[in-house]
Amino acid sequence: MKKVLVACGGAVATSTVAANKVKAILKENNIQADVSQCRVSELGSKSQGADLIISTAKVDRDYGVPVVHGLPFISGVGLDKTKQEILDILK
Amino acid sequence: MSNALLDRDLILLNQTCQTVEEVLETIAAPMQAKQFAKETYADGLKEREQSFATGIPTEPFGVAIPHTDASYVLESKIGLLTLKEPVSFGVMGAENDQVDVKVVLLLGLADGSAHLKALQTIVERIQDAHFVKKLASVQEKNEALALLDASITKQLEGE
Repeated sequence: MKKVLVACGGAVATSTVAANKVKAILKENNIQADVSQCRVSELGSKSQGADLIISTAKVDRDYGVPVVHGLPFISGVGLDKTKQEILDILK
Repeated sequence: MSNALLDRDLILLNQTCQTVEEVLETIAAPMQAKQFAKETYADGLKEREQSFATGIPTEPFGVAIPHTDASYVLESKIGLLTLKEPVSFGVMGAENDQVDVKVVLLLGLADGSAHLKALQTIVERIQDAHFVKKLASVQEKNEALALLDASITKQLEGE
C-alpha cells in the first residue's frame, strides 16, 4: 500500500479538490494507495513513510519524499503531465 | 433572480483596477455595505491574499477566487468582478509567480463546508476555457447572474 499526502497552505479546500482527483487517477490505474490530506505546515510530522507529496502550496523543505505540484488539479492546465508524474512515481 | 447566494450588487462588470488591493476593496464594498460581511471584510481578504494568493493560471487568462475566514461573513454570497484590463495576482501555492487575472469570483461564505463545495464546483467550471471566456466578456448584470446561477450556484443550493 502506497502512502500519498495531499497538502495545501490554508484551510482544507484546495487539497480536498486535489485529493479527490488524485484518488480517481489512482483508481483508474489500479494503484492501491492511502491518500490523506494535511496542511503544508504539518508535513514535517506526517511525511514519514510517505511515497509522494502532492501540494497545492509551495513546499520549500526537503522531506526526502518526492513532491508534485498540484496546481494543475485546480487550473486544469498541464493536468496530463501532472498525472503522468504521479503515476511514474507510484508505479 | 431567486438564488440566495447571488446579489445584483455583487456583480461588478468591466471594472478598472490597478492593484490586487483595489480589486479586493471594490468587491468587498457591497458585501460590507449590505451587511453580508463585517466591516473588516476587505482587510480579511487582503490579509488572506497576502499569505495565500488565490490567482489560478487558467486558460485563456487567469481567474482569482479571493476568500477569507468564514467568521468575517454574515450572509453567504458569491460575487463576480470582471476587469477591463487584467490585474496581476499571485499564483496559488507559488511564492513568486504572477498571473494576469480578468475574472474574480468572490467566495463570501459563512461556513467552511460551504466554502469547500463552492470551491470544488468553481474549480470544475473554470477548467473550461469557454466558460472563463464567457464570464470575462459578459456585459449585462442579468446575463452574469443567469450564467452564475446555471453554472455554479444552482448546484450549491440544490444540496
